[in-house]
Amino acid sequence: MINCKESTRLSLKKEQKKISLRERIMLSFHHLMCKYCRIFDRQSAWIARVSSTLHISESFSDEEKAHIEMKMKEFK
Amino acid sequence: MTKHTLTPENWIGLYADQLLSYAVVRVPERDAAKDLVQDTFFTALRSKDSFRGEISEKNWLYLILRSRILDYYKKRKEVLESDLAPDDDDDTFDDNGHWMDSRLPQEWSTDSIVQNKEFMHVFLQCKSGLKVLQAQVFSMKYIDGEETETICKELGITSSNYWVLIHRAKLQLRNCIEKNWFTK
Repeated sequence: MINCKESTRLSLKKEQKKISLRERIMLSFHHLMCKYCRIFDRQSAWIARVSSTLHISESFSDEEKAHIEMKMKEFK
Repeated sequence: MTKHTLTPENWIGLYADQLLSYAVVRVPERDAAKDLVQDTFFTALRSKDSFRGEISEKNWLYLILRSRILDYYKKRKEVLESDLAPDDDDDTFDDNGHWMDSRLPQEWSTDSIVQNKEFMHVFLQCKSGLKVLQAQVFSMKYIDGEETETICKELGITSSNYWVLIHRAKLQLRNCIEKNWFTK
């Protein structure tokens, strides 16, 4: 029988397609009994999906851009 | 095949913000991201004679930025090693490997969140709270979709190091997102 720490580790292996058949069976058994690890498993997969589409638009201020531009000119 | 050329006088206008947006989700601090982008331009200028025009100017700049980001983490090698300390085990589980009461995962309602800007900021902030090497492994795996073998090779860690780091990173991040967004 595996504990929750091990079960969450196996959830990650499953998510990254590195889980063996034996581990998959152990994980399923644990999930039958443990609601919290089932929640973790689902949320962990969700986080993986969100991460792959993570996008934030950041910009430099005009002053910062001018500053970099000036320093670039010094290179020539 | 068309040869690509470099036009450094247009770089800032065309790519500065794009490169910054790329860097900012991959390194812990916004200022560090800015420095790395600036550095990318300087490195590119210095090595512009080695540009052979086989890839676009834009992709070439991205490649340089990517390697600057890797260097940024490599410079923190001493910090990195402490991230792997065995006694670093977080307070997620008790001695028997069961969830601590304060860390029990709660149900989330995740509908219509994915493109929410405020959520993205909470997410990034939580990622910034990770230890350096954890954050790096997490970014390479989940943001860049790199192969595990590539990550281990580039960071000089073993596969068992990798699993320890990614496990700790995911547990911390999940908990942080829950506390700062879903159950706030």
